[in-house]
Amino acid sequence: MSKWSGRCAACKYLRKKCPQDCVVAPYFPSNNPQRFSAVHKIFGAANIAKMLQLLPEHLRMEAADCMAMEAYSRIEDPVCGCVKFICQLQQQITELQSQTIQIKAQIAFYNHQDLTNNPTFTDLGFKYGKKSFESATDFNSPEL
Amino acid sequence: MEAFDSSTVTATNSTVTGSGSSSPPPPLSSSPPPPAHPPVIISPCAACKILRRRCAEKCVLAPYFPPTEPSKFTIAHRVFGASNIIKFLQELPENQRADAVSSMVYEASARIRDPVYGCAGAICQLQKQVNELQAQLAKAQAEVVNMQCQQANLAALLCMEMSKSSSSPPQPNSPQSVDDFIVTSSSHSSQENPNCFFDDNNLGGSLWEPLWT
Repeated sequence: MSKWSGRCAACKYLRKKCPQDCVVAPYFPSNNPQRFSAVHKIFGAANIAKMLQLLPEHLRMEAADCMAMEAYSRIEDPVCGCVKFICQLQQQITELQSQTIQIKAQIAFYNHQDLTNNPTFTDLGFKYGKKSFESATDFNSPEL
Repeated sequence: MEAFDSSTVTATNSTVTGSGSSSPPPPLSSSPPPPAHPPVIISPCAACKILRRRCAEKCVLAPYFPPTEPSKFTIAHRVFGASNIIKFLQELPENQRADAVSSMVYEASARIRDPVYGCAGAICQLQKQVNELQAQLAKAQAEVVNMQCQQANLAALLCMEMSKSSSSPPQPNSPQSVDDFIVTSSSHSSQENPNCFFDDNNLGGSLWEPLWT
């Protein structure tokens, strides 16, 4: 029996005795048998134990959580697994980057076309004064 | 007696059978004919090579793990195990198996590269990147809207200015613009703009005060 009160989900699933130093017991408690079942289906019990053993103890819980997430994704979508999320995110990044480039081009256009190059607007600034001018706009021309 | 040698027989055969056809003449020697096709030696797939087993003709893994890419199977096998890979592929229709293998190899290589987080780590990083880009885009869009508002306000001010100058007649002792002031002050005559008669006494200090703030 492991120190984690009874057999862990892994040993229960595999129908074997749960030793005191069971590697997977802390990460696959008996109250969540589906978690181990999913991970075992995708990675296999031996691989899980091997992968967890190679890691330092303080990182094993996170590794087990990530493996569980990947296993659930693979069960839900046997073809793509969690790779589809990566593809979707990469596509989103490409779209956002192209949108950002377009907007920056617009900003550059406005800056070029802008107030410091237009003498009419500069005259307005002189006529009405910087303060009253800035109250109407957020004009940041260096000339004023 | 005619001596029937192979050449005569074969020539006769060719005239009988090949009416109008231009098939090459058969060889004259009496040695057995060479085999039609050379024997094809199929190399075992990468999976069977690594597993050290005989690669069957209908090996499930062979189409997806060619012998030229052994690392692909090594990576997938290290994370998922050969029996799991075979099980996955057998459960899928054939047209989806190639994609499944690609995604498994990708996931396995992510896990080997990052044994703690694997693919989940890559997903988190990409999600963070998406959030940053969304924030950048929102900021840039706000800047554009601000600039558009500024331009609209300035256009409105300009229209106001133009309507004022066209509607109200110019005051005799007050300059209409900075240029007028300069012209009238330098020349003391206003041929171009007779209404801009400038007098030192009629400086109109209140008009100029905002300029110098």
